[in-house]
Amino acid sequence: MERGRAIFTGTVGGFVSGLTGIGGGTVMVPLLTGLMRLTQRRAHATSLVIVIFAALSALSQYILRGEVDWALAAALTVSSVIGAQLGARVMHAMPDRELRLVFSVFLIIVGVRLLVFG
Amino acid sequence: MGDVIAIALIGLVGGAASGLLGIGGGTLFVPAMVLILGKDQHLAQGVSLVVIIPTAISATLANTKGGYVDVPAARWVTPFAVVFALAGGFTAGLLDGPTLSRIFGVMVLYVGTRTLFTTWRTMRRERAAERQDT
Repeated sequence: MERGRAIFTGTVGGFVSGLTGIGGGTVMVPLLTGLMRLTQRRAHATSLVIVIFAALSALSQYILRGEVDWALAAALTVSSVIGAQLGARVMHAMPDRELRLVFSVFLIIVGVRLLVFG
Repeated sequence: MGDVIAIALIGLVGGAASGLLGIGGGTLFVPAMVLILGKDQHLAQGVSLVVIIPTAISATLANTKGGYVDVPAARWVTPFAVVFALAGGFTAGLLDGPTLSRIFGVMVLYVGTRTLFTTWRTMRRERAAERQDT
């Protein structure tokens, strides 16, 4: 593993995470596969570990500005934690290439939707 | 009542996407809160970050059992991610909602298109290699 590439991944992924409130996985995953040569499956699993800490750090800024609705967050968390278990299980069973396809199609749909309606 | 069902569905789908795609779910939580629940972009981002933490922990618990986490990579990327996430969170406070939303859309579209393109290229290369074998 090249340390320079790891540092670059952390820097870019972390900044985007805080800026857009998404936890950074969206950029972390392609950097982990493209730059650090992890397989898609390992990149997804590793990204989530990094995201836990990056999200905590970015969150501090949103709390300071009072931009958190705690009741809404709690409600979302209930079903989201269950969903995560299902998602992780499906990921373990899915081949790498299909995983890449699902990842890219998902992002394109979200991106188009945001630019057209957002 | 409609809102309760919407929230439960957003959580479930976002959580599943998080576990499956390793993205923490924010890519789905943020636009869903803005477009479906009508929340402000800044608030949606703040809430998204809160939800991401337990969601990512939940998926990671399932992943460590499979041994899929690359520990050296995580060890080197995390400290820098933490520092720059703080900087990113601070910068978000300086920008207005619509600008943030647009940055978000462009970034997601870029990553998606790029990943689709590289996947398509490797698939074509693999198929060409298979043809040469026969």
